Amino acid sequence: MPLTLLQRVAKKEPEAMRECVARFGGLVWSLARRAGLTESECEDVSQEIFSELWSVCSRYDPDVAGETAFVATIARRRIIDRQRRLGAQRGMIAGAAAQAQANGYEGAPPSKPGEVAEEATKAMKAFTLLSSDQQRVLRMSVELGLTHELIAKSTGMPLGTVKTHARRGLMKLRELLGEDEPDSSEVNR
Amino acid sequence: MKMDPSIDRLEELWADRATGGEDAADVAEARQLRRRLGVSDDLNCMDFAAGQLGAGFTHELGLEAMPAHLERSIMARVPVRATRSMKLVPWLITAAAASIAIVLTLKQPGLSAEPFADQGQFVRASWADWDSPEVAGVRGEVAWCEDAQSGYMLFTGLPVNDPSKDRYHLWIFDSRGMSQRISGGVFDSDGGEVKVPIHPGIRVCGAQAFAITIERPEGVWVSDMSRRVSIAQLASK
Repeated sequence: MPLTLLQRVAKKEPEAMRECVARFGGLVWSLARRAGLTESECEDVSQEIFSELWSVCSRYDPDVAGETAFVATIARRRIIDRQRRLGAQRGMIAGAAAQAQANGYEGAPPSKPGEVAEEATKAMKAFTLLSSDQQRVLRMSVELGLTHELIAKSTGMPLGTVKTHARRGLMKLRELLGEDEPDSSEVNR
Repeated sequence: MKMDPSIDRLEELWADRATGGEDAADVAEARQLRRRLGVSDDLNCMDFAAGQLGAGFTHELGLEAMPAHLERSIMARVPVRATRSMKLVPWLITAAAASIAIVLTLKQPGLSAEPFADQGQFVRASWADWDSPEVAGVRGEVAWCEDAQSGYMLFTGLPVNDPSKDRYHLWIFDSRGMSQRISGGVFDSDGGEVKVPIHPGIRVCGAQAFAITIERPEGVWVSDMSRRVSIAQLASK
């Protein structure tokens, strides 16, 4: 069975790293840009992410996660670390919370047409099967990077409720992502 | 058979962490559970679910292309470690004139100039402390062949570094002066005798000095040269 791209990166194949940057550069860059970092910080953190990928790809297991999920997970961790290091979290979160309040975050914005990665599409399909409260909390948490406390303040939900929605929502999502095709009969449990 | 409830609880704590809901008590509880269940604190299923969802949100609003200069920079900086076979990995394929070199770190027993014995065109210089060095007392030599655009650095006394925190960075000064210094890439030291090949990504025109600084793990495009280590002024053999 041929090796996946990240498995080839783990074997330190230079051409694989080139393909990795070409395939995931847009995702990493966009994740950083949407985290409220400056352009210069986005450049720095993107460098860090690919540098880390080069080192940690040996831990990639295709039976546990897809390549997009793996790269996005590494990227999110680095971006969150960067935000904390910069001390920007407070300001950024305050801004994001205000944006969340302004937008209401009652539902997902319409998807744009065009090609999207298979794993991203699958994630969004599974996401729509969660309850509206779970969707709301997970969008504010995962997309905007808000802590549970800030989500509670922003939405008026009790902290325990936010925690429950986030926890159950993510666990359900993980279950759905583990299926070959998310089953729409399981909507909103 | 009933599942250990500790596993469910650990997954809940992982879900909290992946969604920004972890507090100090959760961290302590997760640590205890992991120890009892023999589970590592590595990337876990909840991290991946949140990561994949994050990718989904990002795709949903459309991806921005990574700037081309950044792609080139990443390609030029990701370090490559050679094997003991001394096979040099041709990492830099970029056509960008501004690309920098990758230095392959090779650990060789013994500090000897023997590898260069048949290379008469090499010029050599010894490492000396740079002005106000952060690390003093590093010794060894650099050998450089202008025609071949390659060379080697030999070190003793270069302290071991933690690659996740900082790395050694080579800079080459040529006839264009200090302001046009050329990045020679990053490398690590295990604290022993270290040999590092030099293969600059852009042409060096009349190498005059080689200098070592300490920089961030991913390397830097422009260094303020504030964390100095060693410098070697070249002289013809």
